[in-house]
Amino acid sequence: MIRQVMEGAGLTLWPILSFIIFLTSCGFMLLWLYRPGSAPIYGRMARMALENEDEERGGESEGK
Amino acid sequence: MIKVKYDDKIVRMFLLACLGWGVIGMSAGLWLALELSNWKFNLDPHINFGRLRPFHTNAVVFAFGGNAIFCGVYYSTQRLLKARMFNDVISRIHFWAWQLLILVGGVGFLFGITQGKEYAELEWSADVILGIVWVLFAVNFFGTVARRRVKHLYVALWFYIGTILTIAVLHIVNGLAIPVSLTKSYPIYAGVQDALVQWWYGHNAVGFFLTTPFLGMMYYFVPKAADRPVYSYRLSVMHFWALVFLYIWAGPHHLHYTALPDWAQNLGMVFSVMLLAPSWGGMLNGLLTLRGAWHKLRTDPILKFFAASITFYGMSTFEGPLMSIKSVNALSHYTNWTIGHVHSGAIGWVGLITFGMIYWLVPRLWRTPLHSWSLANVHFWTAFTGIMFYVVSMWIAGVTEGLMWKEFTPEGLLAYPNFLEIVTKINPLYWIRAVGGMLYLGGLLIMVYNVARTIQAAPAFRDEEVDVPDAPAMSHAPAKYWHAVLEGNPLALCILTTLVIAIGGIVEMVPTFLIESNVPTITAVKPYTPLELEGRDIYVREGCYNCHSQMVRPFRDEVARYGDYSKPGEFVYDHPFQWGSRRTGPDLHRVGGKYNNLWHLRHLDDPRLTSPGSIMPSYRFLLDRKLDLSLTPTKIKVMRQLGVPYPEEMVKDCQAMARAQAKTISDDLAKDGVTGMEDKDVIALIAYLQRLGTDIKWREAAAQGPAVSVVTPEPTNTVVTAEPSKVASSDSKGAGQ
Repeated sequence: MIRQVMEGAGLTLWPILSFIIFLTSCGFMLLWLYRPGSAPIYGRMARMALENEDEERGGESEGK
Repeated sequence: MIKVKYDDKIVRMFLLACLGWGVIGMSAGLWLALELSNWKFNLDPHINFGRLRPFHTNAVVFAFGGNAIFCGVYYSTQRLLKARMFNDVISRIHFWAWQLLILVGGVGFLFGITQGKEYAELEWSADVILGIVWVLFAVNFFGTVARRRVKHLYVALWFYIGTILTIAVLHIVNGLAIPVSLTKSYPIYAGVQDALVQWWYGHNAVGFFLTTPFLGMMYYFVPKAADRPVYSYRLSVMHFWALVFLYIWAGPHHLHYTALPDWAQNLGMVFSVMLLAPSWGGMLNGLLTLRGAWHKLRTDPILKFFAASITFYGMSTFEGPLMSIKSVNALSHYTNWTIGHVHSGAIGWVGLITFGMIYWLVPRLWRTPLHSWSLANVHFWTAFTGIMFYVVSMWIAGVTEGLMWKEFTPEGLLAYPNFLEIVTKINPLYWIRAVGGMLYLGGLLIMVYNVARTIQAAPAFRDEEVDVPDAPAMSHAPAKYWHAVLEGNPLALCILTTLVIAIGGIVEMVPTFLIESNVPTITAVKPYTPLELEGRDIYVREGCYNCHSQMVRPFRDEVARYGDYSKPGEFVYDHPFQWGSRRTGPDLHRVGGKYNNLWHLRHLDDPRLTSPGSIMPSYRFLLDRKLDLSLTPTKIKVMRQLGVPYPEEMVKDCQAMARAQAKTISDDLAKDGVTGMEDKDVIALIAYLQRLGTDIKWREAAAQGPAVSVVTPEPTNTVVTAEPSKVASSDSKGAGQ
């Protein structure tokens, strides 16, 4: 049955559908990432790799 | 606050193993370069090109690269999660089992124990061990995640998670095989399907073994070395999800113009081009992390290594999508351009970032200053110069041979009908590549000396001890939002990542497996005889696929040079497929019937007897080595289990059948005065080579003239008809094999 459905649907539909889902997801993700007031959160996240150093220096937030 | 001791001993062990395997793997690479420059460097049988090449690729990818990954992951994970690794015993088992696996697998390759699938050459028994070791690594990693003291997982850890999950999926799906013995198996897939699965694996092994873990390391070590936070955390979120989604789709670009269905090829091409976006997003994120620290590049070798590495990442991720465009691929595929591309990624991106990480780690792990920063500088410039010699020579060689293969005279004949003419033309570039390899290896040896002297001067070892909060995991995000939830919930992150990587593989593979029109059946195509099957196993054992393709693409030049183009239905009994990815020598799919048995015997004895100037190693040992038919009945049984339509009685008759066919060939050789070959390996290999591409009667069709169907169609399947114009020009003259 799966075979019949796939043969009937046409193979070209699959990549187009995946492509649309991908672009839509990326679009929503971009909008979310740049929502107002989010910069300080990402600034803190960006410094996670430097935390040991920051703790020694009393570090500050930076990042985009 | 409580005190936590990080397990740095395991990091040091992986670091030293990385250096040791780096020297071994790159020395093997240099030797291969010399073998291509002058065939006399081949030391048969164990150090012949076909056996040494999988040793080299596995030693640098899984040994050098693998140990670098584990070194970086074990160091950064503990610090990012503020927790010691989950279990010290698992860490040690992981380390030693990995080294043992590489040692056993590598020695096995030199003895011809291989599955014959590029970058997945390990036989089933070693594959099982690899799977167990990978699970141990996963348990150790996720166990550490479970007891972390930081709520949120930093971006580097997502890339590690993506690596662990995807490699497991790739390894299991591509490794499915039915054993014949402890050291021999046949993959469950055949022909087109095997090719699709293999290159889905092969491409994503590059993506998820040589890219994502190193990107994770980039996101951790570059900010550390530059003392700057990552340029854009938002970009890293986009980078991660877009990369893991898109990478999985791109595998079919390794199979352009082959017998793979066209829709799958186009899909691979489109997604490969799209892959440029996240790749360059990641590259820019890495490079811009150095903003405000550019001046340090003048004096800090670590940052030089990192900056050059990320630049090579950008270059190779531009070149990859470019080469995946079908019209470019028509020229670049099977040429040295691919070798140059692979090495700009491998020794440029992976090698340099590993060296940078090691120079950053050694003074910290051994708590003593590096012996010589000047030597580190020398290493950088030596390695950089070596890479340039390597990749530029291979780019030129690739474009040169690609153009020469395709050139026609005004009269419509191949301008270079003798393949050897092209091989000898690019030989000087092989020497230049070898010089590049020497420089790169020389740089590594300088590093080994530098590290050894540093360790000599180091005080007694102790693990780093830090104060961490003895409290529930702390949060870095004041507000709850969906991605923060994901970053704080590893299980959800794992499930979503698995879903995202699964989409591409499923969409490409399921239709190829289920829809019959993708691989039209050709009734004229029959299973190999027992002797041909044994010959095929010798072909796989000697690694012939490392230099010869078995896939005539539907191009005018290829049809003119080799014969009728390859059809999907011709490979339905090929477990594994042997299409190859490089033409150091000519394609062999239509070699059957092109030369007589004596020609093949003399060619294998000494290729220069039949093909003056050939760089192929001698396979004289095949003329002495006794043909072993003891496993033939088991092989036929396994093939029957895989769906190859051998009659049941063949299981007991196969040895007698093989001997009878061997006698026919040896009788033919005896007419030319060659005796005593009927029980030798070479007879089986000749039987296999003479069978290649002969199931469809393309030579007869060419002789009859236009519009001839060369296959008998199944009632329900597609008819494959040879195009008259192509068949008409498919005379085998002058292929120079």
